[in-house]
Amino acid sequence: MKKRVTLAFVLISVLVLCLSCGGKQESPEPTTTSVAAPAVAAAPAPVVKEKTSTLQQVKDRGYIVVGVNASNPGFAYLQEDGSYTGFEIDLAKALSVAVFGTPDKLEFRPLTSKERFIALQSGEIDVLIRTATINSSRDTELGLDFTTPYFYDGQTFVVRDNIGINTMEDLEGASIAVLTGSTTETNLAAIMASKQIEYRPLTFENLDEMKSAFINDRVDAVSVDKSSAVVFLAQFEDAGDFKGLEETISKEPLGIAVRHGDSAWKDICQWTLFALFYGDEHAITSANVDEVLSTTTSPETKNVLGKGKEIGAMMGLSNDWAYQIIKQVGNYGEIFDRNLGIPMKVTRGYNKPWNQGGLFYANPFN
Amino acid sequence: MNNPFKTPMEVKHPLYYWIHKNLFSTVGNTLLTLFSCYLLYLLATKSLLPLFSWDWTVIQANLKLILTGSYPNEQLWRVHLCLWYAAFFFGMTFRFSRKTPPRIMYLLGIVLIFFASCKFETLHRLSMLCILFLLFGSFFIASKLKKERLSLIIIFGWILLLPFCFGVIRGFGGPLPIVKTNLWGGLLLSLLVSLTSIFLSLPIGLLLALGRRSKMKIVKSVCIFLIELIRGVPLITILFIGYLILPMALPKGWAPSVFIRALSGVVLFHSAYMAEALRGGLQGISKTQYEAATSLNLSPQKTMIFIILPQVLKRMIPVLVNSFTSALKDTSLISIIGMLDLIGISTSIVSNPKYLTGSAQVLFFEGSLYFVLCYSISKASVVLEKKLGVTTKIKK
Amino acid sequence: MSLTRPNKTNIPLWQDTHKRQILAQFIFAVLVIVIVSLLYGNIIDSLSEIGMIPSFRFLRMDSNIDISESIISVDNTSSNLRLIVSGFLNTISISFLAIIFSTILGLIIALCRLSTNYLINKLAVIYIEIIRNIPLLLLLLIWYRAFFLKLPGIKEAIIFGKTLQEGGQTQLSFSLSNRGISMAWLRPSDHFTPFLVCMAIAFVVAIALGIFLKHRENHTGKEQRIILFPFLLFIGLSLISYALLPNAALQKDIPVLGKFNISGGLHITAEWFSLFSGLILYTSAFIAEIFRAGIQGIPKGQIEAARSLGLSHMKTIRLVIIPQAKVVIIPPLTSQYLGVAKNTSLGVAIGFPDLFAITGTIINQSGRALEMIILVMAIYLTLSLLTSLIMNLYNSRIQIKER
Repeated sequence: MKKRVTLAFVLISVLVLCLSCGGKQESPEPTTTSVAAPAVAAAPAPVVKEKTSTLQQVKDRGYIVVGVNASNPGFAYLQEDGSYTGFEIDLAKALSVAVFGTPDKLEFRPLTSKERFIALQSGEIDVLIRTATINSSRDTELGLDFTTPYFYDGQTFVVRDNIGINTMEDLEGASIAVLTGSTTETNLAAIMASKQIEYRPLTFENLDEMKSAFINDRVDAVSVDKSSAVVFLAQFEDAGDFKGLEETISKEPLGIAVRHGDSAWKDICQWTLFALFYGDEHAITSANVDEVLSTTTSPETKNVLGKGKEIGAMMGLSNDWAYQIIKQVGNYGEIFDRNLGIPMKVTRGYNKPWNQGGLFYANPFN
Repeated sequence: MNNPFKTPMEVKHPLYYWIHKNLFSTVGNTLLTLFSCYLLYLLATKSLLPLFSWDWTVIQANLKLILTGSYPNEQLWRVHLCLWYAAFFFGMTFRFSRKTPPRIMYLLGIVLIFFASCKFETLHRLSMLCILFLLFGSFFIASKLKKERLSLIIIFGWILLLPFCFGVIRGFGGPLPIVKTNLWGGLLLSLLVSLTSIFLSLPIGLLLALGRRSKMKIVKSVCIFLIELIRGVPLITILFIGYLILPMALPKGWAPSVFIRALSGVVLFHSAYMAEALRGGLQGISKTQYEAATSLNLSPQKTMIFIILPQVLKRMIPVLVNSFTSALKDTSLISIIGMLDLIGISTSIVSNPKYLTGSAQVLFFEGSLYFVLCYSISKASVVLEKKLGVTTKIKK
Repeated sequence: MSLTRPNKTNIPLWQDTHKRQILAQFIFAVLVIVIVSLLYGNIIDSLSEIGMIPSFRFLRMDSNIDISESIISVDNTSSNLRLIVSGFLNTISISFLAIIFSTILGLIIALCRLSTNYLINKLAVIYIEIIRNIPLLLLLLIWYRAFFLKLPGIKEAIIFGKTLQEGGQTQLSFSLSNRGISMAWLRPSDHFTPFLVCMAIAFVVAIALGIFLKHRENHTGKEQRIILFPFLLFIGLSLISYALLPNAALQKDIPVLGKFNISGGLHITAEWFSLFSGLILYTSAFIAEIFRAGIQGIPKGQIEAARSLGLSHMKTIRLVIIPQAKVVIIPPLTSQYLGVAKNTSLGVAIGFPDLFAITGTIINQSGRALEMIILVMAIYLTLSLLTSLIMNLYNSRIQIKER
């Protein structure tokens, strides 16, 4: 008996050793970092970089890998069944419709704010739609390209209503919570230093933590983007007790980020946004797009909807890409209302087409 | 009180005697009893009672998310399959060491019945009952088997657990379409990461431990450096290396998914600790074993593989089981690098506009999940230790 | 392995154990160097591609952020290095205090666990089992949110010693709210230096007394109070010098309630305290088990022998149980202490700016991931090595010398 048990253990040890080598085909990496396993750690040969366009890669692969946030109410979050939903998710769906004609050719990668740009640089994701503020240093230093903003945001403060705070100066001596790892953190520090307002900062890793701190009166104010502020307020039934300050301490234009140097792919992201804006500008919705297509006389609308110039083909897309986007996902206004406007009561503000007093200006489709 | 003969008091009023002896024997003891009664009262009124008044819909609605993350609904049967497999061998393992089902099995049974009564699809609830049935069924099947065969089956069953689970849950096309790692989440992700880290850290840890004992200076110093480096820093810094540095360190296009990166961090971390545990195990082997092997003209390699390692590994089994609990607990840190494991998913759940205020419930529920899992596993390791400790006493 | 190596020429290279080892080592070394250099090369490549060649110059640059608490003063124009130092001090102070208090609590719980009282025994068991089977991260989150944030807000704070000043200010001697704890405190005044000198002298005198007592104990064999008397001497001398000095060396600093927050006095924030107490709760459960194992590991015969020698209960504990238990307890205790220092890094989850949280923030703001991780690993490693060095020295001193 003893012999058999010993034999069994010999077999285990051999098996276990083998496991480390070939047990998991898809992951040779865990051992690569361990230099103590030289047998496994094949020296990674430098790969000759082939410049295939992101569009081609995406088409070959059959889906787009999108970096998103997994916990930003209204913008991107997980539903009960594990699927993603939200404003930014709908933008990604529009992109998928543009490339593949259906909104479901997407793979979402939940990313933290620390990791988001690295994931894009390393090629792990094709496109980043994760409340990334466009600024010069990111655009130039980080090897990124941004599209036109899809959301104009600005940083503000959420405070309790009943303690008489109306301007930033009233916050002298207050405890203010802010999310770490974002532009809001530096903005807050800079503006408070320039206005010489003493305050006690409290930094949190995630929104949920910060929310709890604020509800429980641990802090007097939170400094967040306006959109988040509204979402923040919408979360509580007694939202009357809280209010956002009027002051905006920074501009936060949110854009879609892609890797630097692939302008074809950036064009697709850019013009997908413009198509959404165009639909909003000309009141072309998913409900009336067929009607508009058959009755329109405007040459530009025809171009957009695939009846005029072959804009889609020039970008490597099907010709009715914009029509499909509006048909399947809706125009910008619809996306906004569906995710932010109706459930969160976010007002449009600057996020309106130029002809309605906003900042969105779809470049001409000609 | 050490009187072996029972006092008349004890015979007449055993309950009263017990109370007196255990609660009120001295003044100090009485004070302690009163103090702990007060503590219990506080515990009950301040923390247990409020639990019943909480609104638990957030858990009911998101149970699928908490347990499996974004894993596709129509593929969930694969997770059940793995659970069946594990339950089958869990039951058998207990039979291996005991005649009657231990208390943990009843605890698990209660948890399973709780899940079966939750708001799931009927099929899933049936599957929960199946698991329960398998757990106890295999316990009684095992009693029909011969002891040696049983131990063989159990050992191979557990070794194949990880490849089986990985194969089934990830899939490889055909009838089992591939489910990407970014869809894994919740408890499923936590369990898989910790399970993998244990299975992979054993061989890596073994290599490190052998390297540390090696006579070759360079090998030895590199291994010592690695082990001490990893043991000297918090897990989260190692995770950060995998998370931020690894994509840069590998050639473009080689960058593995976040899952692999987080996993490699956890594996590396546990390998170092495993190496130390194994080193202890190796030192525990009597020198006579080596001498006997040498006198039989076995080469050092053969001595190690055929004589020493089998003994060490056998002794290590309880340690392995126990380190699974610490791996499971440590795995919670991957939420800090943005993975949607059991803790990470809670942030996502409370981002849903419907459940914005449910974070306390989610955290509490996850805490109890962790407790049930870790507690039952650590108890299992105690059971195994008792069993294996008796049979593997090696005389010095 | 043969004992004597026969003539070299007879053995082929692949069968010569010695040469084979050298060859294997050589190959191993080459492999390690190749792998490390390849990985490092790749890192440099990808960093230089985005124009961020590794350098530590960013440490001198402005951090641009504010942090919530710090022992040294920092603001958004402080350099990154200063921020790291402040995070390091936060980590050190919190882990030092947590180690001391969790040892005390662990001892108490171990005693409860060993108590013959049924209720207290079971309570200790429940405590230990629950804490040991829940991840620390989750424990901290629950502890912070479910306990500390639920304390009354600043307006309804629990207050002792409230006085109204003429200026309309409210002074509070002690207050507890979910912002933390504020209490009156003594701060060094401008005349602190002479007092410090007196204290130093008192310390030296106390040490001298201690050495003298030790000496006498060794000579006479009579037991002396080596710790107590010098300690009392030190305290007494310090107090006398404080009273005799013309200007008060310390001044009272009483917290004042402002519009939003309490300023002045000693302020302990809720984050600091929840990380601190969370660490204590967690670590003490493990330490309690270590103590229990150590105490239970002592053979009953030892205690019986001590009693039969006529040693009192306290003396049995002090002279028989503790010296033997220490030997078993110290090594696992060391690894628990190391764990505390490493576990402070979880403060990142509840908003406490420890070394790791600040590292994360700086990585975020400056993008210097590689440099920061190397730096922070070096710091933690030094800390760990120092702790284990001290504990190993202590351990080797208390080992029972077999005669």
